[in-house]
Amino acid sequence: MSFTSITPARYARYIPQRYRLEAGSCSKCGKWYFPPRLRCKCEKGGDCDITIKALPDHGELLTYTIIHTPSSQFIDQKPFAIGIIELAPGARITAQIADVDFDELEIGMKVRIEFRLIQSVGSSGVLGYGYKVIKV
Amino acid sequence: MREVAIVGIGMNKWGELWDKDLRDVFVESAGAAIDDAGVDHIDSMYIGCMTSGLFNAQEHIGSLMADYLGVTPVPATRVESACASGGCAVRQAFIEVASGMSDIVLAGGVEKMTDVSGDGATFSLATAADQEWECYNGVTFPGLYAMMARAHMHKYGTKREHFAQVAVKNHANGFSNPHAQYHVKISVEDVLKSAKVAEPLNLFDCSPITDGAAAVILTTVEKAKALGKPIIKIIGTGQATASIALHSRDLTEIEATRYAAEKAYKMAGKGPDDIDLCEVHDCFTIAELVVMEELGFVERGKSGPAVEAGETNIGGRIPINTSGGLKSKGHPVGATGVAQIFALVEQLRGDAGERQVEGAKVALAQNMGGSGGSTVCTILEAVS
Repeated sequence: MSFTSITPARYARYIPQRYRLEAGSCSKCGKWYFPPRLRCKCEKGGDCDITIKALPDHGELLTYTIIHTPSSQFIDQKPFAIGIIELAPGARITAQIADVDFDELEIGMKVRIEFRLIQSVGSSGVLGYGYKVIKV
Repeated sequence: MREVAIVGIGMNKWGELWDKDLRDVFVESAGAAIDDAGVDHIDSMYIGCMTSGLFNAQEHIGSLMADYLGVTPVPATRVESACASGGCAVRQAFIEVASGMSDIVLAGGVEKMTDVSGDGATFSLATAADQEWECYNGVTFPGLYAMMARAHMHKYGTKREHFAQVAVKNHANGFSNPHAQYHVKISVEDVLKSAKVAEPLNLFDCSPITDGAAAVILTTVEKAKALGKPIIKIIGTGQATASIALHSRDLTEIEATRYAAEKAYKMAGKGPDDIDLCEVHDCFTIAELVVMEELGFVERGKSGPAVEAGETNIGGRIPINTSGGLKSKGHPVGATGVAQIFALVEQLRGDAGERQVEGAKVALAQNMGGSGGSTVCTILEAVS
């Protein structure tokens, strides 16, 4: 569907996160935000100060599923594993778990981020890159 | 604030309505609600609809529906909060009548989902999740609930069969609901053997793709008495938000439901023990279990065993989804929250036939958006 097109503006905007895992961290309360936010729901209150820091590239699998009926732009990848990974306290991502035997998947599994092709979309098949994780 | 009652309800037969247009689906139900109320006009209307833009390439549906319903120039406003759009429409109508701004307001909901392909529907529904940080990486709606299911199993020992039992109960209830999409009873084995969608969830753990609409008419209690209708009052309403990205929340809780329920209970002066029956947002079987815990019907982690013991069956301690729920009745997303109110009013009027909960006086509807990023809870009471 045309709605999923990756336009140059959309692609460029997210390069800091999809290529470099740039996150925000509040210097007052220590809370992580991925992606960075303009305002912190800061437990310390008042003016907060969000600075940009790269997320750690290792983490732990909190939950997962194996998707058999994906959205249109992922049809040629099915079935694939996807999960929620904690990289730092409170900093979590949803990412595909690549190169894994589905029987090996388990909650608590240690994983590492890799830069990968995520999807190919639109009539011209524009390639969208970003992060996936692999078992370590 | 004025006291508000529901005096009219309307709902068409749900399903794959290939021969009907978006506007026809809505007008059938809205017209039925106006006829049921016996009112000669409405002052305004709210329409819950998640994404007629993606499903039908049609926006601006407030005016479209007012026109085809034959009620122009009354104000008509579309309300969107993903799958909780219908519940939000009812809440907006309640606020408009309670405030004294209008006397007779229609709250409706509609979705016509079969005008796109299956993977197109999956894509459209996934826009209720975080487009850039969830969907971009390939997660689907069943996938999000599957990850909640996996986490719930891991934390509480909830069994795969518990999810299946929710589907079995809701199909048994929907079997005798004339408005339901499916009239088929299923077994636990049927669920376990159905096609894998997002493990551990199978096809029969998922609500279907549905075309449908529902509408209710709200007015003051005073006017309701003059119309000679049974008085079904809205005594509590609560709405809450949370992060729409599942990874930003507790994976085994739905906090927006907890907050919305707390507000509705407080406003109504009621608690979980006062509720005679409940319609909850069982978009996936796991959702019904987590919601039971958030509404306070069971302790955390005990929802699976409660369903297994029959506590949520008709005749059980707290009957849930006597209409068949989203699973059997269908889930035209924007219409669902309004159809829940339709189902509860039918029960509180004593008109639910085989599905009637004897002596039902107080009922709760819980309507949820996305993977739990929004919730509306509404508490109704029959006044004799």
